[in-house]
Amino acid sequence: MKAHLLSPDSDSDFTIVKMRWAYNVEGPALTGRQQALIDDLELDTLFDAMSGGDPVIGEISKRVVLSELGNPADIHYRQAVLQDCLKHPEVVRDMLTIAVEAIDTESRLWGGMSGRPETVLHRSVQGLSNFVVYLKKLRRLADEHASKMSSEGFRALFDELSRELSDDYFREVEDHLKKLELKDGVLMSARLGPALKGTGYVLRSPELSRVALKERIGLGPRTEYHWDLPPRDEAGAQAISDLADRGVNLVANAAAQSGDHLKSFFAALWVELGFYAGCLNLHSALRAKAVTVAMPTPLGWDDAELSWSGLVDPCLALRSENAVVANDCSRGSRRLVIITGANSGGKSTLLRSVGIAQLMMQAGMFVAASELRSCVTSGVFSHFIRDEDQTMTSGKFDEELQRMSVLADWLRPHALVLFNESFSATNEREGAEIATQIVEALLDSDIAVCFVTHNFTFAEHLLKRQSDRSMFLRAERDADGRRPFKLVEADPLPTSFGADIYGRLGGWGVD
Amino acid sequence: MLDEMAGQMSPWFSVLTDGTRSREQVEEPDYFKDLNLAAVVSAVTSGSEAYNLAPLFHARLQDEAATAYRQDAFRDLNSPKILGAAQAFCDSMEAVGKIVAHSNKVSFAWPRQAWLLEAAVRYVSAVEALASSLARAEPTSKSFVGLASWLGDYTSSKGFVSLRTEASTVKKMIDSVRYSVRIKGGRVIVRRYEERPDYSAEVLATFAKFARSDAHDYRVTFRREVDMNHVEAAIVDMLAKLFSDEFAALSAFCKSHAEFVDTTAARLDRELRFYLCYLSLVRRVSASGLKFCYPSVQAGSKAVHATDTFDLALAAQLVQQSKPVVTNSFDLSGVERVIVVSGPNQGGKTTFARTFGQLHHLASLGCPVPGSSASLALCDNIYTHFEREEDLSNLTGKLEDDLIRARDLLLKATGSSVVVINEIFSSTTFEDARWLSRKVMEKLVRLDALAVVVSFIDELSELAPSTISMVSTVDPDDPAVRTFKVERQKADGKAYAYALAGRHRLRYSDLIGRLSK
Repeated sequence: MKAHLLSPDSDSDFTIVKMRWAYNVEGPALTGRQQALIDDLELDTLFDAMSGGDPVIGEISKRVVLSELGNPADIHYRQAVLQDCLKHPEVVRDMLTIAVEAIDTESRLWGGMSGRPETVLHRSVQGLSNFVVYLKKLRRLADEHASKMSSEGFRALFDELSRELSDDYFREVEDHLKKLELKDGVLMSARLGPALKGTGYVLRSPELSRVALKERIGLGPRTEYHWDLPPRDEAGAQAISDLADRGVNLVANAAAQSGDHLKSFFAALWVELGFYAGCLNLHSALRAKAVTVAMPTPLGWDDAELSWSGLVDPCLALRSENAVVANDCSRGSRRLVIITGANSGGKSTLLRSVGIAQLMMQAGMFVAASELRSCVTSGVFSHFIRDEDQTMTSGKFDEELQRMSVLADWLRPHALVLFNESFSATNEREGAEIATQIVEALLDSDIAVCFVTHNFTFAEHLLKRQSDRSMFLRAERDADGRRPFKLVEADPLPTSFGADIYGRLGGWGVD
Repeated sequence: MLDEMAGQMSPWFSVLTDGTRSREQVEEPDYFKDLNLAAVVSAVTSGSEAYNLAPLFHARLQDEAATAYRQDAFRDLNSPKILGAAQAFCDSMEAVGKIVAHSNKVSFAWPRQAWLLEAAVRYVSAVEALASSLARAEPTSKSFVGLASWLGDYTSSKGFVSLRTEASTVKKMIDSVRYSVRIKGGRVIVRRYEERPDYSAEVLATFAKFARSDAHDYRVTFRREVDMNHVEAAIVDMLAKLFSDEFAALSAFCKSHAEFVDTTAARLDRELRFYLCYLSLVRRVSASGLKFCYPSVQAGSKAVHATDTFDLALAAQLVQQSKPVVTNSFDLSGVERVIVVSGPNQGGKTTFARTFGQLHHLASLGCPVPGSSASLALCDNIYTHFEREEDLSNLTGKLEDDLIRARDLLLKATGSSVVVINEIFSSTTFEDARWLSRKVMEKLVRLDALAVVVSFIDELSELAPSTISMVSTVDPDDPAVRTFKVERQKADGKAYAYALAGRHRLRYSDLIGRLSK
């Protein structure tokens, strides 16, 4: 029995664990690619808004957003669930509370899960009893709200809850919880192992067996013998209890594993609902900043109507006091976007907007745009210029190439690579030559590229050689030198606008 | 020891020697430490100390038929089937021995008897497995053909057949016992087993629907007590009443088969280990790409050679540390008898000298030797003279000691001996050393013995037509790097300077190349 709110057929590869006092998300470490995306796209702002102050929700959101879905159908599936959530936020939050409390109350029970089998059994029965309380709550919630939800994900979940958590089922569970007290002692079957030591112990249903009347009055063959512990035989008492432990061990293990299964069920529910709670948090935060959001249209790779309008960087919007500039663009099927133009002209911001929107779309979320049509990629990758050589072992340009080489190991066809002033730690000609070779290799490998560059030689190379596959955006300036931060489709210009900014800043007294 | 008893059943048979008793020598030969053969034997026999195999590795064989008998057996063991069969037999025999030893220490009567039955069952299957796999594997060597035929006789003997039949019958009876035990308070109730559902499985089934992944195993690991406590013994006593036929059969078996291991089978177990232990070292060492070969071994031969050979003791150690092993070659032909090794220190000269001695010892055991090909002499003895570390304070004493040992050696050695002399007379003046060394060399040349002499006096190599020169070499690009290669070349004392020039790319050919750009 599984909640499948994130994906119709697969489980997430991380879960919730309690570390000392707080809950944590545990799973595979973030990959280098994911870590680079967080740094380059400044995603911490986004995850912080999604967390709504709950670090576990923030961490869940991070994991989900950074694990892009690979096809439009999966994205539509999540979009539908998210629509339900946006319509009925209270149902999502109530269910999340049940999942969190189920796990939290269980973790506060006394007793350990190791040591003697009897201890494990006792603690496990308590844990199971606790989970049963929350299963019943879940069932009641399902009875009450099932009819409101229209998405496939929610309908399947509620159907399963009412089918699997039937009254009969609860009776069966309570019967076990009673039997597990082992009031009639421990009954095991066994065979003889090496040197006649009992082995292959299996705990059997503990009801008493009947002894035939004939045997009881001393007639007929004996089918039963017994042995009584002599008084004050402490070693014997220990031996008997060790023997009983062999049987208890098995059922204690069964009970403990059952408890784990229930815990994993609630933890998975926590993860899945946590992501949608994160979306609800982000939705409110963006609304408070008057940012327009919309459900994007995910397209197949070969679809030729790529476009965005009213696109903003949600992280910048969340941090900024003022309204941010929105961009429009219609790319058609062009795989390469080259962004050139004035410093502080909004080039990096646009690059980030594109990357973040792509990630949010492929997480099944709304995007910070009034409309967005984009093809589903095999993954988003970033290669941004770094301020310093962190390794100290190789030169800056060497470091850039090395990072590119690592990235190349990860790339697959249909990826999207975002470059921000890459390969600029060398002279313009060399940088242009290398960057051109890399970009053309990527394009020919069916990989999409969005490249912010100051390197005019490079941009001009591509203008000459790749004009039918490329779109050139330029950061414009208006007549008075102030930046509108809105980019327009225009060929690269051979000069940059550093002097403008210098002039605006008032220079530093060397003129 | 008990071979006479085995003789009653079948003629004397050994996988180590053809017809005669196998030679063993308890004492280590004098040259063992110098040649690092002690380390080789301890690497070979490590883990099998209980079988006291070292005496088998101390005793050199004296004739070619004897070495061929063992080489052929080794060749048969190249077949994975035969090797696997022998290994499985030895492993099982070891287990049988341990179980029997243990059963003698058990105090409760029923488990003691059960241990004996267990050992007998394993013994029977070990013998039968060896017999049937050997028959299938079609060995060609005299020793394995002989072993197969001995096994054929033994497994069809009356004693073995009754052991096999009874052991398996009784074992089946005991294995079929199924019972239930209920523990309630201080009472233990034992019954024949009646079908009931597995309760743990029922619990798991109820909650399985929530499972997301493989569950953690919460089972407590119990200390595995091999022996029973008195409660378990009481349970077995009750079972003996509930299952009286089964337990009576066990008792009867133990009375009639108290001593079930055949003495020849026990001896063959030890003899097979001679091969298996050596091959196990060969396997470990050759896993790193090093080669072993079956040398041609001839008594009185003077034309000896080995290609890509190495010091087995050093290789065993280096391979374990995943370090590379350098191989070397030598070839004496015609009138050549004595290899004089010179060159930079720490360049592998001593290792080379040891290798030469080791090869001759190992070949005379009938073992495969390090190298891709080799022909070696079956010598009457091996004599070594290595510098002793002790007594450094008393240099005069040391020189005297050196000379006494040299004299001793040269008087004992014959034309059929192998001699290895490593850096002697270093405690005296160069002139002294040169003079003494020449005297040693003259004697060796006259003896016509095969010898390796490591010396800093390189002119020794030009003393006679029977002496050749080999030199430890360095990396031409970086003379600080030893290659540990010892190569046949003229000892002119200039190789080092030549290499140093190469490091600075000032050699003639280097300079031509650089100047032509």
